[in-house]
Amino acid sequence: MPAHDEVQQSHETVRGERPTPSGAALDQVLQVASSLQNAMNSVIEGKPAAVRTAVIALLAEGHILIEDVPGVGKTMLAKTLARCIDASVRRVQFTPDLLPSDITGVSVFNQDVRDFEFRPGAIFANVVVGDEINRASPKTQSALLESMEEAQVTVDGTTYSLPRPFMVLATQNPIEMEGTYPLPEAQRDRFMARISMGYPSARSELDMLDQHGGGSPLDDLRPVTDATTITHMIESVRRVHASQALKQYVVDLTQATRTSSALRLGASPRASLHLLRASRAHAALAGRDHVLPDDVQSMTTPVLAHRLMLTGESQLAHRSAADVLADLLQRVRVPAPTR
Amino acid sequence: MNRTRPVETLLAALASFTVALPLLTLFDSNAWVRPTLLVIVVIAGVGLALRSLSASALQVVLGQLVVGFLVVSWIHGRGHLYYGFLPGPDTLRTFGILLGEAQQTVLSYSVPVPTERGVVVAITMLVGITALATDAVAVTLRLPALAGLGLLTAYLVSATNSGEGLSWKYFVLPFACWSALVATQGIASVRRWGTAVPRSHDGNENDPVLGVAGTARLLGAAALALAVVVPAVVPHLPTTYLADGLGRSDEGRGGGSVRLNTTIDLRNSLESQSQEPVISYTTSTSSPAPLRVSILTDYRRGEWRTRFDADDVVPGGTEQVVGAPDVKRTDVKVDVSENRLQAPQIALPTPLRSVDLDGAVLTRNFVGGYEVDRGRGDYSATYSEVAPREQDFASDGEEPAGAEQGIFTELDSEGILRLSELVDSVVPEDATPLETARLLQAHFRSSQYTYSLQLPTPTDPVSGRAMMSDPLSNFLVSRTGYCVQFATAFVMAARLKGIPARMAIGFLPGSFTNGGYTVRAADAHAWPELWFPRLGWTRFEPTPGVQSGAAPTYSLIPTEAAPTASPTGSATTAAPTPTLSERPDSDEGAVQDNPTATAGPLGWVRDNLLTIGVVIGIVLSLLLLPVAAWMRRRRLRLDARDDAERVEAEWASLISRLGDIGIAPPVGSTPRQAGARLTHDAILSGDSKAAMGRLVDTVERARYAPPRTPVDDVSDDARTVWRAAVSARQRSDQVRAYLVPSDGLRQWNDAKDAVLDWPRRAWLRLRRR
Repeated sequence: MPAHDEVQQSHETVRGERPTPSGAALDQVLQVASSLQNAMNSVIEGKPAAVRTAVIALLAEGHILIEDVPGVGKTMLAKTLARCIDASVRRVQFTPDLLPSDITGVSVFNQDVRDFEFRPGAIFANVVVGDEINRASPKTQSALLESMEEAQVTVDGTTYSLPRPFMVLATQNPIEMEGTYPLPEAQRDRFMARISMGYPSARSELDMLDQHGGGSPLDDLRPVTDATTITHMIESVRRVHASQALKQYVVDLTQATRTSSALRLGASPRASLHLLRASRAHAALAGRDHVLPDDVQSMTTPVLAHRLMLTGESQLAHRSAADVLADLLQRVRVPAPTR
Repeated sequence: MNRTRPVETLLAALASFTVALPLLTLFDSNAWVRPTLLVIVVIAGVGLALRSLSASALQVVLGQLVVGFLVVSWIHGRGHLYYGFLPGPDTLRTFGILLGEAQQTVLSYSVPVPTERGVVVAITMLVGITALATDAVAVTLRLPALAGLGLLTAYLVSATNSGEGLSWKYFVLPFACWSALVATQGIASVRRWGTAVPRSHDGNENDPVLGVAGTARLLGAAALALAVVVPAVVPHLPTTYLADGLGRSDEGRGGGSVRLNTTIDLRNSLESQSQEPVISYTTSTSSPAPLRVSILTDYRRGEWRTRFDADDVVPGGTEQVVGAPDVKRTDVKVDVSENRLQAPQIALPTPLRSVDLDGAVLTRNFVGGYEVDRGRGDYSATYSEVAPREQDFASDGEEPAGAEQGIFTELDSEGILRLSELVDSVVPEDATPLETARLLQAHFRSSQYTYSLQLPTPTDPVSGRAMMSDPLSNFLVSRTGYCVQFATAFVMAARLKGIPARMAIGFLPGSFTNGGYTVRAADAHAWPELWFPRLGWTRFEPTPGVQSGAAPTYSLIPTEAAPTASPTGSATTAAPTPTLSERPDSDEGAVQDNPTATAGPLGWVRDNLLTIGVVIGIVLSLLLLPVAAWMRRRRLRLDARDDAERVEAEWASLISRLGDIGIAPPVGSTPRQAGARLTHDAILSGDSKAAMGRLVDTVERARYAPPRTPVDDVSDDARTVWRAAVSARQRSDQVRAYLVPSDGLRQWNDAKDAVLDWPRRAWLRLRRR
């Protein structure tokens, strides 16, 4: 699996011990993350968990798939996150006639210099909001693949690096909807976490009507941080310590999804990696310099659920991937350190 | 799945013990109860221990067998063990002899049987095997219903041999234990099904769970109804015997339950050691006559046989006076208030004058024995107390009825040679019949003879080898026997001298208590009656005084009266020291069996050595698990190489100990979740809650924080949490937690595995070389 190997090279090149983040770095993470969350919560009413997951994915260098029925604020969440960061933001509305070159960019002939010149596509930004991603053709969807995983784009044999931080926030309607192409498994696996917005509570909906009646709340939103700060924070999160026993726990969990009789397809090794990274971010958001099994447990469902495929039996029993994961969490022992 | 099953073990042990309780009715003492109970407890305990170590079923049963046999050897095989504790071939031989004795005893005695040592060994072993089988089938293999078969067999063995209806309590107890056993495991196995079938909340028709339960209840009710109805409808079969011999009452006729065995084989004992009262009566005389039940005249090949002849009804229950009218006779009345002798046998004093049977008919057979047509619980009889003078023994006069057929003078060829040698040496040629009788009686009651219920195997005086000959010769050579041998020899000797003689079977007058006499089964006796024309049939008493009591005054030689007349005369005093197999029947003899005269604490210790040993053993075995648990925890702590591992050891110990009091974190819980759950379940608050918080925090840091993060010592916090948790539990939980810690079980299990694994490792090491 070449993609997996590359993943390891790009992110886990330094094996073994790295200095854990200093207190100041952790404080910075805490402070910025909380102001980020506050700003987002002021726009997205009553969805603190979704907001938190989005921030975690940002700090863990992951991409987010926001999936739900139309009109519950998927795009709003994506746009809010983008707006809160003082960085380049691009928004791509995916339609059936969208071409791969629209995303990656295209080489055009420049008459002045008499040579081909690369015109960057929509992907060249810190935050890319891909709206209704499953309305594009599979060909266009797969154009995202390389860029999402490797943060680089290759056009006409030339590889262009994408700016850092780089994050794709894609929204999609449930696959049963008219005129949608389901995302291929390979592409779904590249998203670190999936967020299901869900309907807001009656009270939140009422508040929303009160506040958003006048105009778009996005207009008042000011960025609370910038790309450089986010890069620093990402670096701090990478250094959060994960002990051997904890890594064992992550592996045990993903292994359990592969052997579970309720699942047709379990989690990939990339999923283990994503889970550990998300857990690191989760621990950092709690102000800790080390990961606890509790962090892993909190991130298991958002990180793993969208990668699993249920067996026909489980589907008939109306079980969801989240149900199966909850079962596994109860069954898999938290390993104690071995001698 | 927990394989210890303490409740089931207890129930199985109880069932095995209660099923043995009917034996109480079969034996005359409860000497078997203590060792048997000990063996049952040991077998149950070993089973419990081995199962908790998750040994295989075969290992459990083998372990129980070995330890059970060891314990039986320690109880019964003392003096036959290597180094005082290891059974060997000598032990087995001893057990073989004892079991042989037991079989002999069981075959010879009617209920209740004396509990001699062999019998106790046999009962201990048999009940022990029952307990082992029950435990193995019901608990180890979890087939309690099947175990019922074994229990039923054990129950039937004792129930059918008592010869009478058994109290319902003896059935209810084992039955209750067994059904509780079946129920416990039934419930356990139903629980194992889990909740696979969802239970519907609305309307319960078609509910599969309730459907199963309903069918089960219906089946149970039907089985119960059948169990009640079928025995009521099917006619009872007469009681039969599983082991022939015990309880010789061969047919279930009405009346009393005791039946005297009148078919006397000299090789077997007529005696019963039972202290059960047979007859209670009152009388005015101070020296009542023995009560005669039967008369035997035919002796052939060492065996007395009953004659079956036409009976004459005794009209009005009144007998004519036999003999000369001028002999001094006093009528003595005997009022029997309680009679458990089975009809047609009846015990009457002789010579009988009249009898009041309240409607029952008395018959006299050809040889003069009496029978009744149906049993009487109470009756009264009058007999003549004869006080003969010397001249009344004159031999001229009429012969007894039936004498013309020679039945009272008939001799058996067996042993006659030896007998005539004896008679010639004891009785002068010209002795009168009275002198003959007196001399013979004095001879048999002399110190040359030993009274013993145990008949010795005769040995040839020259070669020293065992020799088989007829019983009479055996008696005359060994000079050891009991009333049957003495009376037989006397009768034969009298017949040899031409005096008509017959054998009477009955009871000695019994013991005087509370203004009346009580005759027990142990008072059964045989004596000779000789015919003197002027007196009729006259009783003599050749059996030494231990058993027979005083001889009649007229039968004593006047000059030598003093030394031989006393009831505890020379025969007793001169008798050799009692051997193991000898059972003196009189109370005085029984008392001598218990030399418990030692005094002081040392004596007490010596007397109760077994009990003290058992108590110490129990205490030590109770300490086995706690000590092992303590060792395991200590090893865990000592093996820790750094602070983090020490914390881990403390945490593991705490979780394990909390598990012992029934508080366990869920399987997939993180330390933090486990801490929260334990805090909630153990109802921790204040200090202990804070201690738990610190503990969890430290564990998290020790496990997950970057290396070299300092961690605190948490042993105090762990102790605080444990004390708070255990003090909030019920006493039974506390006791269990301290006595049966799972750490201890794990330690022993590891030890067992190490031992079992040793041969394999040794083999590997050998091969590597």
